[in-house]
Amino acid sequence: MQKYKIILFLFSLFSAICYSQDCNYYSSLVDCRIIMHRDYKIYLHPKYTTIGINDTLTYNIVFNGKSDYVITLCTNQKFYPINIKLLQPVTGKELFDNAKDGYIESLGIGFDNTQNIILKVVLLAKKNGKGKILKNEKACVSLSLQCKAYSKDNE
Amino acid sequence: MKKSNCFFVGILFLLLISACKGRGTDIKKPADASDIKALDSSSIKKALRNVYFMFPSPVEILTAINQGGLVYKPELLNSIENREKYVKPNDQYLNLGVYLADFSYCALFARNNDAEVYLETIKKLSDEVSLSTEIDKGLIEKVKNKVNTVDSLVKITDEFFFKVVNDLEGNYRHNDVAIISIGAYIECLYLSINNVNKYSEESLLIRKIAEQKYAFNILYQYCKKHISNEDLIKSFSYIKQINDAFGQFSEHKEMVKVKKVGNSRLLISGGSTSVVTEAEFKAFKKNITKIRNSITK
Repeated sequence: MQKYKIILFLFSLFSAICYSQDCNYYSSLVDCRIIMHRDYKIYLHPKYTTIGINDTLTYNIVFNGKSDYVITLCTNQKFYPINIKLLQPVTGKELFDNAKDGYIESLGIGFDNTQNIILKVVLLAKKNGKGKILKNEKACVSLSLQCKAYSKDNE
Repeated sequence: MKKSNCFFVGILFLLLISACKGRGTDIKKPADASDIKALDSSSIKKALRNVYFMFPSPVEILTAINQGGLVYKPELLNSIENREKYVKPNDQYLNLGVYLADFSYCALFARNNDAEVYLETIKKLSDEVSLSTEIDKGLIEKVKNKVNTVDSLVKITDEFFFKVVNDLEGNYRHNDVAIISIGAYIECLYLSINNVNKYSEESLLIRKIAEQKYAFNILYQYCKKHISNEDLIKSFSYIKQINDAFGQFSEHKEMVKVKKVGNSRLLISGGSTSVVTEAEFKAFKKNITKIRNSITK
């Protein structure tokens, strides 16, 4: 009886850990760890959100003028590529679409003036062979921002 | 069933219950009976479900404004003795935000002693509103013990603010996040605006203050999404008034240009910049001071 108790206990503990996995702890997973760029510091606070394929996440963010930023998005391997679009809030004018850039997941941006930018994120999950996605399966998406004082180098 | 077996089944049940834990910020509590419809319609809130308003911390706001040259003026800070006057929860949350901004201001200027005093006040006030359980006590100790260098103090202050926000949001207390942030933002603005001794059209400090319209607008939208309680209308009206006041400034608009540099870097120039006249600035300063003093009185 004692043996079954231990097995049952371990099974329950395992399921509790697996299924109660809060999206906020996602950054601790190896493939979503935040890598700090040299001279940059964390801006705002990393955001972890759960969405399904083709759902749109919208982030409303203020970027300070005379500053450089690195925007990094990350999710579960199966859900790549991630489509990232930058839009102007009032006009909705598209400033950038990473579909034209091979779906890069990390983007550096320098801002001359302070701007309010809308960031739209969609998980496309078009990479084959990365694991089967169940119907209605959702994934954690992490957004991290880093910033530093503006430099016009590489211009 | 033996006693030990009952205990074991109980433990299993608790573990399985914990496995059903939700995702914090995404799942909303059912509307309270006292919720009001006036602030926003449910359809708008539904549309905003996957929209996240990422507003900066008080220390990030002050750091941005500091590019225009802030000076440390301790006489502007809200006296720690006022804390005992705040009895109503709404006043306590607003002033918790005010003290968080004051703490950030001290941290920005490496005023270690003042920072520690304000941290103690934050601790006491957060105890009164049952926030301490949400704040990791280790973090508070870290703040107390590491008030040595400006960078680490600023970093810890920043982490502290977001820890409070995260913990509250994780417990569906978005209302509280909104009210604390309103208090903090108003205090940041008050501290900054009272650093301007003389108006000048070219003043970088005034320009940096005016640029905060974006951060205030994001907080305003966050409040619109989350404030649903009648008791909080007064606090909501503060942020609305300030958001409207920012909207009074004239704007110089330039077309936004995007230039690609290398493989993964963009340069974005142009956009709109606020042009603040002397009369507009004076009216704005008067308005902010009046609102701030009505919060801290």
